[in-house]
Amino acid sequence: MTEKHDISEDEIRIIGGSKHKPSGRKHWWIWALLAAAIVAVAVLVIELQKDDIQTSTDDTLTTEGGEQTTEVMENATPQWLDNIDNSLPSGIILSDTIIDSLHLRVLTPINTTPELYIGKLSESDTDILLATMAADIRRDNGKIVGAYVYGGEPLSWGLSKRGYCAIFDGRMTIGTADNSPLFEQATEQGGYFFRQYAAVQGGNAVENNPENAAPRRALCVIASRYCIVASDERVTMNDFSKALTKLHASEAIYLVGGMAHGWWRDDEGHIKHFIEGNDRPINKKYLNYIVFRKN
Amino acid sequence: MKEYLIINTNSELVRIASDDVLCIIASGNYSTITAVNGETRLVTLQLGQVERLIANQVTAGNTNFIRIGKSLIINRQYVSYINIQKQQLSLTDGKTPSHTLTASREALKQLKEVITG
Repeated sequence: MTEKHDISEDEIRIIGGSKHKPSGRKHWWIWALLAAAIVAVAVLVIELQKDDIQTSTDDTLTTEGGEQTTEVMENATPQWLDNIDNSLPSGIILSDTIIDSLHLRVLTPINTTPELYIGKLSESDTDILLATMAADIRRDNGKIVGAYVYGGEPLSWGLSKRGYCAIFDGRMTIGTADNSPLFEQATEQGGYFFRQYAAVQGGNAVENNPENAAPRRALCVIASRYCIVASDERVTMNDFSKALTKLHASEAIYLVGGMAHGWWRDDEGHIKHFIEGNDRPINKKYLNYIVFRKN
Repeated sequence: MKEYLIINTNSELVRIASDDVLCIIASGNYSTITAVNGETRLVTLQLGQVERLIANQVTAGNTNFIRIGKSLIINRQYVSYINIQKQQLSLTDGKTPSHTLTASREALKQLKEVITG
């Protein structure tokens, strides 16, 4: 059996019956014109701002996501994580939730292998189930901000942000520290390492100075599982970090947010972008992603 | 006699009285069934597949299950609150705390029409 999306978000269907015909279609042409105008403005804004994307704190453009059905679980434990079984086939479990009126999308990779990737990433690589920009890139010289190890090769040094992610020997570790021996271990073992703003440390929100609001993304540990949590709405880093703690994140670091390029594969293998319509990455030498590949 | 839904996959079988199903939510490649008592169970079927199973198993005249958009199936018996503006839909059996979901405004408008007849 295959899933057929033969119903849109705006439709309902009595199971066993036929699609419910909505009333009030008399003014359909007004809505069509309005929708066309909104799409045109959104495309224009996206095009104007796409080349300016750089860091998680500088990007502030918000696009309205589709009206997906979402589960509202005010300050509740994410129950879907309790039900995940490692014997499930490789995939991304998508869950939506609302914490303090903030809509959050939680993507939980199952049976995948994380790694970093530098360069333009092909969306046609069907082994990649989730990819999103990881370390910030400097606007002036296009280089990676903070320590970075790629396949055992250190490409950047320095502590600019206290959050870190290390991947080697089949394991991913995220945390917050000024100095981490995992940088050296990643170098010695052909692994990966990058720095980002810390979001949650030991279950507590980490305060960050940038106070602007932007769509945010974070790599989190929730119930001992790695998840990517994203907001489509503009939110300050501090409010986002607090929401992550209410989502029971024990550790979390930011990823590049704003309009940053990133996607996951839905249940039919179709690409879904974090920011709808943003299918073109910025043209930077050190454009880099964290990716989750099928096992 | 109680009517049961049976969801049978290669690796699991879920048997649940249709009246005990509060809602079913798409979770990527899988679906999460939420029972009236709040218990949840993840099944390795996409929501469309679950919908077809329900359609094949419910008795004629049972119109309790309603697919709402791409990600949700609800049991209309438990709809307790709809707010189109806030895109909120609450489900409860009146004994357990309500379960609040969101859906598109247009879908909720149609659901309201269906429920109010």
